[in-house]
Amino acid sequence: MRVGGGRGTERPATLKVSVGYVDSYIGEGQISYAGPGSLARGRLALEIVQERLKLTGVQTSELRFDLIGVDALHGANLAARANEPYEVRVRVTGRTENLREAVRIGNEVETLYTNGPAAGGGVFKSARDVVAVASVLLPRQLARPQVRFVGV
Amino acid sequence: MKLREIAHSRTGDKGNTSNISVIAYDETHYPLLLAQVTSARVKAHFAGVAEGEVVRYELPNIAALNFVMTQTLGGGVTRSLALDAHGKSLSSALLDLEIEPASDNE
Repeated sequence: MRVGGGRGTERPATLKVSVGYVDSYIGEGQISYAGPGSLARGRLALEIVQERLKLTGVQTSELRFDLIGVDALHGANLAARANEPYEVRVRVTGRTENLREAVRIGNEVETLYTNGPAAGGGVFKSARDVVAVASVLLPRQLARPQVRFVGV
Repeated sequence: MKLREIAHSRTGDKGNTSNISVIAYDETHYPLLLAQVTSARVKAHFAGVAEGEVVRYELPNIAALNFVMTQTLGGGVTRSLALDAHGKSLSSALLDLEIEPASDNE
């Protein structure tokens, strides 16, 4: 098979680089409610955590309040038409500058066991650092490849 | 009818951008997709989710559309707070779109 007419353009002056960097920390807590009224209790639990985080001065740059089974994936608009679920899982996540503040977020969800709507269960907490990846363009001349042979 | 009755969909992600394909099961439905699954409609459907622009690309040879939605993934999979950080489930949300069947008069 013969192929013709190939052509090209000048190579770009930049190279794409994916850079990993320590971006932030994320704290998270989850708790579930079941049966009649579980949706209302889940919503109340989210309100309580939101107010508690404010009252106790937890430093966050971003907060997210989800009901798994209702609106955790795509938000309130797309979830609006659905019927009430049998169970809901509250999920609160927040972005913090350090691990200490991240841990406080999970704790404010865990305390709903005894300081929140009735019969919350199955608490899960986590606090982790976030290594984010950003793609940037580097001037080509800054990349100096070297080759080193190690062992044989 | 729902879009999912006449098409399937896959979602990809790159940084804070999601792209969602819509592929007709039957190529005779492609004109329906072209007419009714517009970028404006998709942007409205994803209000509160897609915070940036929604651009539609057309692939007529495979009866497909590809929607590129910026500022959709909470900063990108490596740092997002979202449960579905890649946005893989967004294809299901798009397939819930209502489609008017072609009328018999046409």
